[in-house]
Amino acid sequence: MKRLVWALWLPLLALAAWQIASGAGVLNPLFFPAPSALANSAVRLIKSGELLRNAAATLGRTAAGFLIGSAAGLGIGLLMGGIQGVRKSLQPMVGALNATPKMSLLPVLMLLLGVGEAAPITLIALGSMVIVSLHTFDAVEQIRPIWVEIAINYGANRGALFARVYLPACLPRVFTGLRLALANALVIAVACELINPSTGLGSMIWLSWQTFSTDRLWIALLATALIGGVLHEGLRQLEKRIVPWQAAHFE
Amino acid sequence: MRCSHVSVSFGSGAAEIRALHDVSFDAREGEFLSVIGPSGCGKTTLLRTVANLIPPTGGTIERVPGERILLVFQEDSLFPWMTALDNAVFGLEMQKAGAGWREAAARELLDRFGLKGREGAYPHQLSVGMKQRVAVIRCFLSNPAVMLMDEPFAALDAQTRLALQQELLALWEPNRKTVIFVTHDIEEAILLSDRILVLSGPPGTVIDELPVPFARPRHASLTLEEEFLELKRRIWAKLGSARMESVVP
Amino acid sequence: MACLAGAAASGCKRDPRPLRRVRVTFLPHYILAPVYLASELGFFEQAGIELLVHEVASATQMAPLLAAGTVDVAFSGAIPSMLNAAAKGARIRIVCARETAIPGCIHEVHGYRKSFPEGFHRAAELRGKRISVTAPTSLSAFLLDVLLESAGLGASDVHLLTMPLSESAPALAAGRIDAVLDRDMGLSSPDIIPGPSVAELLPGFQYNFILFGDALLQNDVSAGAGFLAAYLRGVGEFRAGKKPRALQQLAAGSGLAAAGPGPVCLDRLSENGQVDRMSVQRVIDWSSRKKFLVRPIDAAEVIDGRFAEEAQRLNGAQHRLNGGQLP
Repeated sequence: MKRLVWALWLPLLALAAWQIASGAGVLNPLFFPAPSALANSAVRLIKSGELLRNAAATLGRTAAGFLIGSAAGLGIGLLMGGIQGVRKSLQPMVGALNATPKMSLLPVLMLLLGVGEAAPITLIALGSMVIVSLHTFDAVEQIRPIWVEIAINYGANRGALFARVYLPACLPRVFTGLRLALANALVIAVACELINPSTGLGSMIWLSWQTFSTDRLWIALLATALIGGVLHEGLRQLEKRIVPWQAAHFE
Repeated sequence: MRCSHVSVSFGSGAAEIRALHDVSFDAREGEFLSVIGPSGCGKTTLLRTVANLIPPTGGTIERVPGERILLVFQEDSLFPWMTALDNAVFGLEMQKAGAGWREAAARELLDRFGLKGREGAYPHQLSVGMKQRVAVIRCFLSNPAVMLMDEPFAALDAQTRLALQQELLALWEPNRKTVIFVTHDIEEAILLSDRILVLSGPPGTVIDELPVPFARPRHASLTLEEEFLELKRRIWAKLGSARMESVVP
Repeated sequence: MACLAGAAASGCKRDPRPLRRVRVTFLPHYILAPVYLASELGFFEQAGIELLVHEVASATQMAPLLAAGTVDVAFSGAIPSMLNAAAKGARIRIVCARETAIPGCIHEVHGYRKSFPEGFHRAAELRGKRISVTAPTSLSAFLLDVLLESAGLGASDVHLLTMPLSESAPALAAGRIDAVLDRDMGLSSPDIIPGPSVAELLPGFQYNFILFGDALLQNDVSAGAGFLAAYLRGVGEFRAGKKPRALQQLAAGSGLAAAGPGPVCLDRLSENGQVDRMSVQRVIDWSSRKKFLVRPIDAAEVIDGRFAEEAQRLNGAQHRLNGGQLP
């Protein structure tokens, strides 16, 4: 509850300032409709199902790409950390891919995969895979040899070594990667929808510009921000459960 | 446990670094043996060789087959992802001891050594002294035949160190398992051990072996007695001449 | 904002008499050659105007710029973003016509050869095909609806996709989509074939205009008329065969780099700038049906014909001044 107050007071203050500025005629209502007017439009868009339908489409793409990409990234990162040959072969490529603006690959993917859902989801997965694999690899690199020595000294077998040492030692960094990858997945999903509009919040934003519907534009933008915030917080809660020793640092 | 003519070197050719040279000693069952020497003389290498973490390049180490040898490290060696309690029972967990029994045993020792109420804390929430207490408890709970301790109290302030020395003796005395305890602190060596090996180096070689005649249980007040100071002076002189020898070969 | 290249020599650097700054925005395209010609030949300067150009990458960026007063003039179609901004009360008016539909010269439909084994001659052949437009609000979407309507088809009879022209051209050449409706397919591929003409269905349809924002609308007619007069003189020069130095650059910007400027259908450029009310109303009615507008509006609300009339009068006087010869 207290956390919620801390998280929301600033945005609520901004909305209040916006409302007051609108009432005083400081802001041009063509571009900045008053929050009260936006609330009316939001209710209308929710009732018509348009907002939820588009939010669900964006979330679906984000989740699909993120889950596929993260699973792949985890595997690749572990292999890179564990096997010299894999590391030497993949590290330069993954590093290069990490620095490539993902959106620039969309036209190529569309030529390869067609105009359906495959291209954006592949792109989101690619973005997640790169981030998660680099963080996982980094996590494996950062395992202190003394932990492994002690575990072996105390008689840990291979299974125990993996479950009680390697895995938990990697988890904090892996979660950092997952959090970054999830935010990135949402960004790519919305960007894809902006470029190839079909459904989703990005398409809604794009169509709002096409028709100068600033109220819908703001609502779609705020909905995207809200989803980003909720996803981030959700993953934090999961992290607290799974990586409690790390979460204690945040408190 | 017996070491005969053990040598260890790293690298080869011109880049060869000789860490130990012709070290021979034995650790008797139930004995508290200290190894003392200046920094960098190869004490840690000796301990890791005995623990079978480093293969000797010469000589032999006789161990009793099936006997477990456990290490207590100088640095922070707890697993950050486990609570104090989980860290303490790690050895028992690997030995597949019953969960209920091992927790009860660990709680008893944690309570006794000032960690009551801190069982659920993670290492980064504990002080340096508390962390080393947990590391020592982890070793004792596992009940190995031989315990190797590599300057476990080196990072502690004087006050805490004194307390932990007493606690270590209190843990050790009832069962008296073999301990090889590496330190560069002369007082610590005398206070804790039955016998002291004096090392010089590098490369590390045994230059003297001194029995410690004081009766147990020992208390900190022992450090003020004349015989204690006499022994301390003798070791000091040994280490001093060792240092000279290493400078003027 | 940048001073236009052609004007740099005269208007931008030296300033013998105070020039009125007019900020214009457009998508770089060779059909803007008259603007560059008028600038290079000093027509704007003669009208007391210093031209500042703000190029944009997408047509939809222009309505907000014009409505906010960041620019004074937009070279744009009567697209839903402009119309809706006006419907919401923004001071935006269509003041001058630029282009009229001529068969083969505007947004026509192109198909992927293998998708039309019998040839692509009739709109009815679009049934069940994957067709891309740049936006559901774009002029090409409007024209596609006209085309489908002519064949008795509805939006549900085809698969409509949205993608930028830069993606739809290669997608068509690769057969990922069956047809594209957009202007100037900058891609020559043996697998791309032209389809039936939309322009034939829309005789005299005007689709590109000049729009003014608040600043030029509020002033007396002379400033805006001076601007249009200079532009229309540029049109005259272009139709007479003159080419601006910047044309090569423009051709590259409009995706025609490989083929050069190509056969520009010069007749499509309006010489008098007179706006056809029916053309605008047709797009308004379509936008209204598609729920792109907050309220239905009448074309008269968004058209202001005074500037083009005055510009013609000015150019007529100029024409007489030069003894009946074009300057």
